[in-house]
Amino acid sequence: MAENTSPPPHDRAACDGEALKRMAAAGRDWLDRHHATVNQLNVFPVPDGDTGTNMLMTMRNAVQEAERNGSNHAGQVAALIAHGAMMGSRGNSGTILSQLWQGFAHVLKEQEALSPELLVHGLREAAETAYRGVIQPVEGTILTVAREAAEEAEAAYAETRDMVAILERVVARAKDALERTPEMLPILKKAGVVDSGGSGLVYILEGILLHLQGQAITVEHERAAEAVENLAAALAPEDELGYGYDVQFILQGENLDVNVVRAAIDQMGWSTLVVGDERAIKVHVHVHDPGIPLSYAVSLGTISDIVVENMQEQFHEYVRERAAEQGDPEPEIALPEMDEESVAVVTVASGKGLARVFRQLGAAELIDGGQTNNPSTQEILEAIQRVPTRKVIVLPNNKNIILAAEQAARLATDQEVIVIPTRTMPQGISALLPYDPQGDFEKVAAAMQQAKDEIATGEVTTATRSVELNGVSVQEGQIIGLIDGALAVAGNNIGQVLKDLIAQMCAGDCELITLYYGANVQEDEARALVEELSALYPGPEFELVYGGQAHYHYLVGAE
Amino acid sequence: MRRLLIMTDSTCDLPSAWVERYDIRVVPTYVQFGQESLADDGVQLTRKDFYRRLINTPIYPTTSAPPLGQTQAMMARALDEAEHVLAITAPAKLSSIYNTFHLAAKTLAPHRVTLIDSTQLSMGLGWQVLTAAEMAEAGAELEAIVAAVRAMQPRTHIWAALDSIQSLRSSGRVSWAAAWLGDFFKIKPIIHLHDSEVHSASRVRTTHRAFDTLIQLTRAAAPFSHLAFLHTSNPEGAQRLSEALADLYPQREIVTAEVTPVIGVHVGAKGLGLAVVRKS
Repeated sequence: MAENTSPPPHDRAACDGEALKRMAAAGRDWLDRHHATVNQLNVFPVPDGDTGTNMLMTMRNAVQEAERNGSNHAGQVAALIAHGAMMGSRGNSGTILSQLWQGFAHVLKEQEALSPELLVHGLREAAETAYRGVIQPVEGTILTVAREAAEEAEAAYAETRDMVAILERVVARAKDALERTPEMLPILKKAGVVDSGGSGLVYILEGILLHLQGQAITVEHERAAEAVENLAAALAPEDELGYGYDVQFILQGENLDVNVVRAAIDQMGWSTLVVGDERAIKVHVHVHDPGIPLSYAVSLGTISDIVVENMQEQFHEYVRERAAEQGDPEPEIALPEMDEESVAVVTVASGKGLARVFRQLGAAELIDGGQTNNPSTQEILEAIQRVPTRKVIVLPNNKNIILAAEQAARLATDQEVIVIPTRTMPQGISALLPYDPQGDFEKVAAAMQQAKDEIATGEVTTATRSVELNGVSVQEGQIIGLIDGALAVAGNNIGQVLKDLIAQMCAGDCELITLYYGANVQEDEARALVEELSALYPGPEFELVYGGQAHYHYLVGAE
Repeated sequence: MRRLLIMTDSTCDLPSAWVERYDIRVVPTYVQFGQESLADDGVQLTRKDFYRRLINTPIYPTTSAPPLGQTQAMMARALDEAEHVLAITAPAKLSSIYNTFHLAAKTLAPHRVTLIDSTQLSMGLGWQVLTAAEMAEAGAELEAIVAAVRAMQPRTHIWAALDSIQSLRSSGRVSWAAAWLGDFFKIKPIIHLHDSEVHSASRVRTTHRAFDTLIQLTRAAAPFSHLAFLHTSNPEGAQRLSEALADLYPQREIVTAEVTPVIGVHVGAKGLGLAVVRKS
């Protein structure tokens, strides 16, 4: 099983479907262990899309898809992995990662087993598919790492037919390419980081190599975290007794047998997760009587880190939070009248207030998401498919969601879909202004495309690390201001940073400034700030709107 | 006795020089500020006074069609002076003016009055009235005039950028605007009047975007046989718009109309627009 990728007796001759699943699982688990490191590699110190998390979510879905299926045919397994990656892809790096798997799977299509030769071809096709998937490929990114890895595989294959030996060289070269990304992409050099997507790919390749070399990769705690992530599914009432209790603990002892404990716990409840080794076992189970698994565990050793939660309450809490966060349904906001031939808009929105604004302007489907919470290709695809029209416009409203949106657009084969590549929420709102559900599809899209560029976006957030960039020096925890994605000002006070930011944004011709205040800002303080700003800058008009977005104290639209 | 007289209502915004030149009979419509009812005949209520009041009034005004009695009286006088009356009015879908004219004609001399629903307002109606008057003076037959006016209608458009959606929303005559419920206070609808329907052509949030959008929409519809600039207490805007579109003028002079109070009530002050007839 994937949660404990214990080293299989490595058979270098036969690398069948099952072996391929284990390889992918190892890549996923190694990335799992390092994804926080990858998340840190942001050019700007903003709580951005979290490349590590996005790639991990993509890999999890990929492996899950393969594991759900019993096939041992390498080609079929590769296709399942590619499909899972595509549907689960989040963020730009996740989407490119899914393209890599697409290319790899294409080469393995009719093959029962993976050979060194197919590995080499697969890596090449993977890189080429990924390059083709990006409109303007940029060097110094995950693409460069993938391409150089493929080149090294070819060079190694000329000298050896040993899969492990080839992969050793591939990983070394991928790491080397990653180290050189700052030389290729000046922005990385300035920020003092290597490319995050490239880094994620290195961890995946390295995980596969470690697995083939016979090293164990275990990631127990993250697995438990994943179980919590799937809360919604887990919380479905299982029987007439209701939701029951969520029980978690760590059992410590000697000569424990994980398989025996798992079998026993499995008998007691549902949603069982039992992982560990002979000295420590992590248990997670849903039961109606928490006493039963706890008593059982005490008979085997000592227990610690006990968490017992009433899932009935959790579920109600969850429902309340969802309702509060999504701000949807908004029963008083009527959707534009639409039929099959109308144009509908699907948009990503972060925060209750922004969701309201998008609804008011006529968006038919909202996808909750944004910074640090990039929706997957599948989520976007499902939103597109929920819309009752054949013509759909998608507003990703985040630079890390554009590729996933484009991928979803290609997958929605029953509908015509145009993605307007909006990079921020204010840009998305600007694009939505000229939207006309009954208009000509191409004309509506063209007007929206034009409108997105008629606004400048300012963002005020808290720096996630220290950096010096664009001549601005920032300490972790300071307040920073960005204009159209580039770091512009820094300071210790939200109000001052906002004023400095608006001073820069209003340097040109500016008529209206819209301020969207975030979830952690009080309306009173926002109103007071707007009054101060109006006095400071008599030129433009100011409008304050509740955004409710996470992480960003203020989003600013200047037009 | 004259052969034909042209009648219309005061939503036509036809400059008074033409009204006098062709002796066009304009029935006034009414604006109510609370208990006070004023005819928008340019005497009881001038445009200048109206827009100043509109901005300052705590009572939002309403509008009404001319009373049947007054319409009958004006139509009866026209029928005394001419063999036949051709009346062209505001759209029945948007106002009861057409119905008032219809009732007046029915009670007076149904066979001597020809009534046309212009499907338009302001100079969108004005251009049809002017065309009818010019043709009548040139001696054209009634049938030819009616055919010419009807042929203009599908080619006639108004685009207007309103300063705010509030008036259109309160007016209640345009369902999409009435349904508008927004967190944005500052939203400027760009409306399109065609074939008796008020459509939302776009939405913008700044006056310079409103201006650019009007220009874009207008250029996409060129060339024109008729073009008039419209505004509600925004002569500077109309002036700039006419300069920006100088190359699109048809052969005739530049026509700028300050929109009559009865329409102003529904669209609000500081609006800007155009009434065009596209070349066929």
